[in-house]
Amino acid sequence: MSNCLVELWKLNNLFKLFLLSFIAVFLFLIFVLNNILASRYLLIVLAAGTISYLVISFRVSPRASRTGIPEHRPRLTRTHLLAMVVIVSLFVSSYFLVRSLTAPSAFQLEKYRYLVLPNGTAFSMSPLQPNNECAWLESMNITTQERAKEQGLPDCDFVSWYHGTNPPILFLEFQNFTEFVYNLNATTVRTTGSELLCFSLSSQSFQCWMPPAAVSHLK
Amino acid sequence: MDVENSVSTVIQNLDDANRSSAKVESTVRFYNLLSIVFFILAVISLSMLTLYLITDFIVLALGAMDIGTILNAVSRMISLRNVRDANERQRKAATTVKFFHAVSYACFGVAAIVFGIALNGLATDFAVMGLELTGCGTILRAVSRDLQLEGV
Repeated sequence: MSNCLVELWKLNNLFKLFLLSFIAVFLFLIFVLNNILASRYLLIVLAAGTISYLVISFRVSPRASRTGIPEHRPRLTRTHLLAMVVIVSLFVSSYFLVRSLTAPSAFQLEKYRYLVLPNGTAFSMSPLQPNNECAWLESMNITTQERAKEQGLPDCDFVSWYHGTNPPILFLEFQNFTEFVYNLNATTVRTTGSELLCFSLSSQSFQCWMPPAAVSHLK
Repeated sequence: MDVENSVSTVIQNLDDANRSSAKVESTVRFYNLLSIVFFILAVISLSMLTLYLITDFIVLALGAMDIGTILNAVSRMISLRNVRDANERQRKAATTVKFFHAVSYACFGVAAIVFGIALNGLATDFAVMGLELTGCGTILRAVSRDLQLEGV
């Protein structure tokens, strides 16, 4: 029994080393060799390694009945059941709470000139100078990230740091992950526009997605 | 009468020892199975990485691998304590410590690389990866130290 267990813990550690080397090779292919195509073929290596791991682990993992020691079957007590219910309900309630509290309200955009808040307050939009285009590099996949860097787009994170949120700013995201930054100024103009999804970044700064871009495009 | 009493005490002790041993083995089996599940979750996340090329999947995979590693290390620690022969236990503990040290060095090595990338590009995702890897290496060192100190 203990020999089998030794094999299994060693196997787990060896598989961990395999996964670590997989990550290291992936990063090497992307950042040093810049070979994105080759990194896709790593999936075959990963599948082969995983199948071998599963086959060997099921062979070495012992069955309790074969060991001669009477099998100890844990009884499901009321405390266990209560603990499981509490843990599951914690996860489920958190999910629904976060979903209901962070649901985006209906903001409106009028021809890239005005942003209208759900309470009717309007802001006039003026592009950030000298260039208002940026990219959320960390949210992009590697190929899109490379393309954005080739275009010389700054990271939206840096734009956000340099310009702060005073005066308020608007990050407008398009489906292809490009982002445009606008300064917002309070205006008395009463207007309406097309509805779009927005979240408040701070008291008066916003992140919005132009349809058909959706929140799921970003973190 | 005394002989009967001592025989029944010995039988009860053997029964207790057997029950305790069965509990230990069932716990070890459960932890091993759970660690395999977490390693498979890490594999699924890494498959997503190769398909979608989003580095966040490395963060998720490393998180799952960390949980798998901790469960594996703890199950090993428990199973070593259950070995009754002191010599065999010490021999196995020495092998375990060597193995855990090797894995922790690998964790620290990859952590150094991702910390390098994080500092170079001010990429917070890579800093998180570095912290996860450092955490994994540190926990393995701590478990190894525990095995050494207990003198198992």
